[in-house]
Amino acid sequence: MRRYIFRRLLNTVLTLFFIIGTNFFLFRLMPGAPIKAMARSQKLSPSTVKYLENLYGLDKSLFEQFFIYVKNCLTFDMGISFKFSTEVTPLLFERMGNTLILLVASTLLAIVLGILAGLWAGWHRGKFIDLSLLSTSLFFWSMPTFWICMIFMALFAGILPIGGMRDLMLENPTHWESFVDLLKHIALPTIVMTITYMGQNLLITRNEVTNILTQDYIATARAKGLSRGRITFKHVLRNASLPLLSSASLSIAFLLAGALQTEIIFSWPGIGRLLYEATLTRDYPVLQGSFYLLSLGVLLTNFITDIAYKYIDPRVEY
Amino acid sequence: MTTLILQLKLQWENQRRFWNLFQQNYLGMVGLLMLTICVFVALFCPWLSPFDPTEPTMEFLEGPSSLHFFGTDQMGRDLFSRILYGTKISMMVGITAALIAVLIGTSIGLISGYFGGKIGEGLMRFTDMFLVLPYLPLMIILTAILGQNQIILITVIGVTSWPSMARIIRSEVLSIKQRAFVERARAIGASHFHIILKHILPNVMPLISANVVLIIPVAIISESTLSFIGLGDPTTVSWGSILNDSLNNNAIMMEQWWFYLPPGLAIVFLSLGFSLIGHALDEIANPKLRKEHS
Repeated sequence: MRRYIFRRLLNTVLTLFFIIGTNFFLFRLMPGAPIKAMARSQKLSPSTVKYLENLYGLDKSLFEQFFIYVKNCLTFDMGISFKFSTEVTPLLFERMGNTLILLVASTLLAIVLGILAGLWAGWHRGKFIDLSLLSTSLFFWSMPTFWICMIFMALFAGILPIGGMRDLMLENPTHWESFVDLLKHIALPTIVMTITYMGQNLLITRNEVTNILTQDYIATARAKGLSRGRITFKHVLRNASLPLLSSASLSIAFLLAGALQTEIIFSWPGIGRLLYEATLTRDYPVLQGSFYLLSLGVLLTNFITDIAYKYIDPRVEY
Repeated sequence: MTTLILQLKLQWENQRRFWNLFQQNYLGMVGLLMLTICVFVALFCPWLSPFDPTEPTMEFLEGPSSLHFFGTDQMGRDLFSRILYGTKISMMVGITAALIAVLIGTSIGLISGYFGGKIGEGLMRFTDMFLVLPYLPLMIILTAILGQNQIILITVIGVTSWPSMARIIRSEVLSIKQRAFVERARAIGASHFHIILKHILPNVMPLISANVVLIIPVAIISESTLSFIGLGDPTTVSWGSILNDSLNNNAIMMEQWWFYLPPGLAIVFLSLGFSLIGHALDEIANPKLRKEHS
């Protein structure tokens, strides 16, 4: 176990450096001199260029720059935003928190509902309900997330709030009132993300049910009168937990992509929305910082799921 | 001469067997029909569209009529024509990006599966690194930095979509490598290059073609997402950019459904067509899946 954790940790650290490296070189690949691109102006006096180069450390050698950059990344010193003229890091953490609320709510819902729907489809394999659940999830799967958001926005406009995270008109709300307000605002983004992510949990659970039901020992047990609930809990869920967990760890990037689009459309003040706004205004420090923080989040979650996987299934090697 | 005829006959037989299998797959046939419609539209869009898709007029944001089937956008351009032209862009970007992804994924999968050892392990670690990267933020950053045009868009989508492909090909190569004919070829003294090209590649080909078709819809959706975010090529007509226009002009609140429903449906239609064909091909190429269904 210790060896396994060490290996995974080494891998995570290597990937982290890969990401930092990508981030570093990407922003130096920008067409045009980086200073001009960053200042967003072509007409700079040589002395200003020199001053800015000194400020950003661009007059040092590439190797030295990279060293400083790595140090800054590890200490979360992401520079100053062009647009907000404040430090990037506190901004990132605030927005990351909002994204996490959305992600946790929709992931939990998608797993629970996905398993329930999968069980339902699996027990009625080949019947109408099974086929309609399968085709619905395939249909939603081929829909771009941002378009589902737009459809839901059109459908629920006027019933649920379609933007932002809280109602600014609410005066001196009690804790309960602001909680209800948050629930109302999170409803639409969560529904959309749950729908897009539910499908694969449904498929995994359904396949596990059909797989289990064709096993000889289950046929015997059923003939002897083993109840559906017992089969579900003792056999299906236990067997499905591994593929569910591994697919969850593989789909973190997918979930993030969904969160990003949902945040853009429903103006959820998360890190995806921040990344989007930074793209529009070419706010490079924010762009770089949010990509770094997002990747770091993915890496950490992956590391944790890998350890959890090993804990559930000790046979896993490498 | 006779061997050539025999070879051709064998190939013909193989193709007919494949076609028979494919025909039995109901959903695959539906996908093929959907794709045929899209190819037809993409090829003949200049003749099918009633208006120039980029020509602004004074008829802003008009609803559907017998003149403008899907109404007009904020610059008075005919949305029906724009959607027809969008088919061409989506297919072109989707197919080229998928080909790039497959080229990278297949080479990495082949090399890492065939040679194994340190090279194989190293390549797989590299693949794993790519696999966990948040791909949409990566694409956004790449297009934001490198600039917005069609070629960069295609390259960015292609370069970020290969890792899953590499893993699938690798595991298939690992099992083919164990088969007797590869060992026989090696015993005769065939070079690595020869074995990979003549013995391994033909055997993974069905899997590769199934995966190309499965990557295309993902690439199409990526293209429309990036265009929707406003990172597409501003000079081309794309479904994603129509949706971007509709969001920027607040079409949802104005209840201009003709502005945001048809482009989205077009994306679903095309990507669903490819997915259905891809799943059918996957079932034929992958004996495990075929057995389960019959």
